[in-house]
Amino acid sequence: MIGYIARRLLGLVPVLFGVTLIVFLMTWVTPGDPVLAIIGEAAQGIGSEQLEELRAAYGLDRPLPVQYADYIGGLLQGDLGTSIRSRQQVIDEIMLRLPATLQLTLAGMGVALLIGLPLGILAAIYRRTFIDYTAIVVALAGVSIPVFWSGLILMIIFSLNLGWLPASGMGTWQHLVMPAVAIGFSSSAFIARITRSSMIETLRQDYVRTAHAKGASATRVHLRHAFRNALLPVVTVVGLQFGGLLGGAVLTETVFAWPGVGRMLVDAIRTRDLPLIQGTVLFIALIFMLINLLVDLSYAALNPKIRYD
Amino acid sequence: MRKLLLTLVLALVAPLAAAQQGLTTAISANPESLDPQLTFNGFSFVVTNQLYETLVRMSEEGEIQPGLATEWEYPEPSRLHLTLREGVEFHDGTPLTAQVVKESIERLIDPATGAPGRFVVTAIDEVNVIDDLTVEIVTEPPFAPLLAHLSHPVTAIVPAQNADTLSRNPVGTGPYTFEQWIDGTQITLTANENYWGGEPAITNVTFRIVPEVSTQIVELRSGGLDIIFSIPPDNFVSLQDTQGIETESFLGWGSAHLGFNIDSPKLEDVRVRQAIAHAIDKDLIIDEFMRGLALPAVSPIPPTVRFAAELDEPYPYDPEAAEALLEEAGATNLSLRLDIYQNPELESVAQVLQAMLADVGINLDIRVQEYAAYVESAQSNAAELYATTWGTVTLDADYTLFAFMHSSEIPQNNMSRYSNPEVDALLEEGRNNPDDEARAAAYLEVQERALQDLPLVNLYYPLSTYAKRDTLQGEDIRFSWMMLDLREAQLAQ
Repeated sequence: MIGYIARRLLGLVPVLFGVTLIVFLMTWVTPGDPVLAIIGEAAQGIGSEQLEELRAAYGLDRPLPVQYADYIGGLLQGDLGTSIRSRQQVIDEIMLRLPATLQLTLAGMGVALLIGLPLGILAAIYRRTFIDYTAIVVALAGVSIPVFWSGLILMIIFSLNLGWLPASGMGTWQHLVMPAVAIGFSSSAFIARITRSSMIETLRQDYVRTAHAKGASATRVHLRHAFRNALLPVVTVVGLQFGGLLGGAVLTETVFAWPGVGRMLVDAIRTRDLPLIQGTVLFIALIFMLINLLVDLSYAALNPKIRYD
Repeated sequence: MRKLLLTLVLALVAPLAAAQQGLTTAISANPESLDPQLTFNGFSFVVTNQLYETLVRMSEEGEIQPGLATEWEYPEPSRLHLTLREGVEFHDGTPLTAQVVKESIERLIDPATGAPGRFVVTAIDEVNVIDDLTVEIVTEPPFAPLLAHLSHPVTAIVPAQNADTLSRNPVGTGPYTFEQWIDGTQITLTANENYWGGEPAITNVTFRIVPEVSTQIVELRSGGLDIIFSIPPDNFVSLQDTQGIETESFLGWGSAHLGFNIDSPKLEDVRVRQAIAHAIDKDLIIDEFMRGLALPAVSPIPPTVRFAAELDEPYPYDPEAAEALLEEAGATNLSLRLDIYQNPELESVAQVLQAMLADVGINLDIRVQEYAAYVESAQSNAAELYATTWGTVTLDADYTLFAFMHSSEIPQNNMSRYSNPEVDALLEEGRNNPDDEARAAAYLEVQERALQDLPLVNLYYPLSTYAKRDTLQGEDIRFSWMMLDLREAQLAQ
């Protein structure tokens, strides 16, 4: 087991290296002068001479391989570099945003599991009944309704009309409610669907029939025998969703003015702040891979037949 | 009943809101820096403008007014002497002296600083201390718009000794002092008790970072925000009838243009450009797409800018005249590409232009790109038409007319590639002659030539908009929302 984990962790190194190379190349093949993207369209009127000065000041006049080698050199010493625009350490910028992202991701996943799991289980047990169809419609709505619409509707109802919750921002637990529900609702759809199909699969198994025949109560059969075995694919999806939310909750973060890592990354891409893009993507990739590792390890816990040697 | 319920609920959540005394407003993005020399964005400047001050200010009538400097004179055309206000202190107690001003400007013009707004002050050659409160700025050759440039937020005076920490711990002389910056969430400021102009009545100002306009509007209506800026025309119109909300619009420094690459074989004939100008119904664009929140443009610079000329429209909307001109020029079945950048306003204007040009038989192909990619395309030799919004941010004609029409600016800002030695000479005269009358005459001629030679069609001057809760009174916002001035503002309880 420990050997397996060590091997997996070692395997992260080439992947992360590849991530830096791809991000670096992608930023450079994007059309347009990066200096213009960095200073933004507000600096219209700037002359070509000043553009060259800024290029030198930002260190973007050096040959590409040199820039990349410098970056990797810093990285090997644990230095993620400095943001071109804010001139702050990239690691500091990420750490400033991380708590907000973790809060929203955890709360959102909590909501998603609370909605998704029961919905999926019920749909599977009462397959092809009204309950199943309702669950499917709810799941479909969750996937289909974009958060910039549902978020706004939530805001209008709960902030503007009822005055129960603050419309946007971060600070108190009340601020967390609407964004968590908005994220949780759309993630719950995936969880409900995978839970449903996985449950249907397991409910067909012989051991479920045996359990019923032994006279176990329906609840016990469904939850102890079937659900636990149906969990493997669900855990995979939850893991992927969790990783995805860490950097991909951009729309929700934008609508609710939530200061997460995703929004910071999108701003960094828009303004071609290469060190910040590199650092953030690298960070998200690392967390994503660690979550995947945890998911794989959890298989062994869920199904003793699975062993990692 | 609903109101009663609302009051009850509000009373319950009031303790939450009570922590926020004072004014709360929103900006759409996290500023990259609160050092005015290291940024060139409205959402940074609107904050730095509360913290720092410029040497001079611009009045609504285009007059230079005192800021940190109370008096100024030109002993020679290339030497500007400014007398500093007495008794001004930075928030950390450091007194404002000529030496501090010298160091501040020198830091801005030093290429090593990497200031994106350095281009505003490249004319400055040196800064000298005359005495404790008198500073000399040397521009060789004389640079007539210098004072206008010194009213731009990027030239605000910073204590250079704090250079390394100003980004996150700003220290200025302004009416508000820095309190806290919660990254991506909000920036809070407190009234400066020792402000030379007297402590502002509003004691706390919070800039919340709220990217979405629709979220900002919900927040304004539910009381979470007191004032929001730059509201898209449709939303602005719907806010006009909302109880408790006041909407304001004013002519700022902005303008919108359709530019021609006059070196393009398809556009080198001025009759083709005139035909396109005749084919555009500016009033329709303004009424339908800007919901009336713009004025039709004739000159490249709006009337708010110094030396803007009042000119008659030589190319009124006239599709028949357009068709006749095209035929005369032998440009039938013309197909053109229009380059624009991602901007909702430009994108809808481009579509209207497409329809209007189709009416006179011109096929317009629109290419929307990211800003930096757009600039690359519009500056390439293959460019045909481009559209842009622009701000004459120094409020002096030189800023825009020189950029658009001087041959030395090809292709960086003069994307039309307009090159005319006479106009070059006039622009240099306007830039270097300290006499306002001579400048006005030079710029009048340049603006007339712009209409004759038509390197671009000036579409409209958009109005700046803001909406506020009616409890806020006395705010002063000139030319742009980023120039928000709260020194005289009050919040009624």
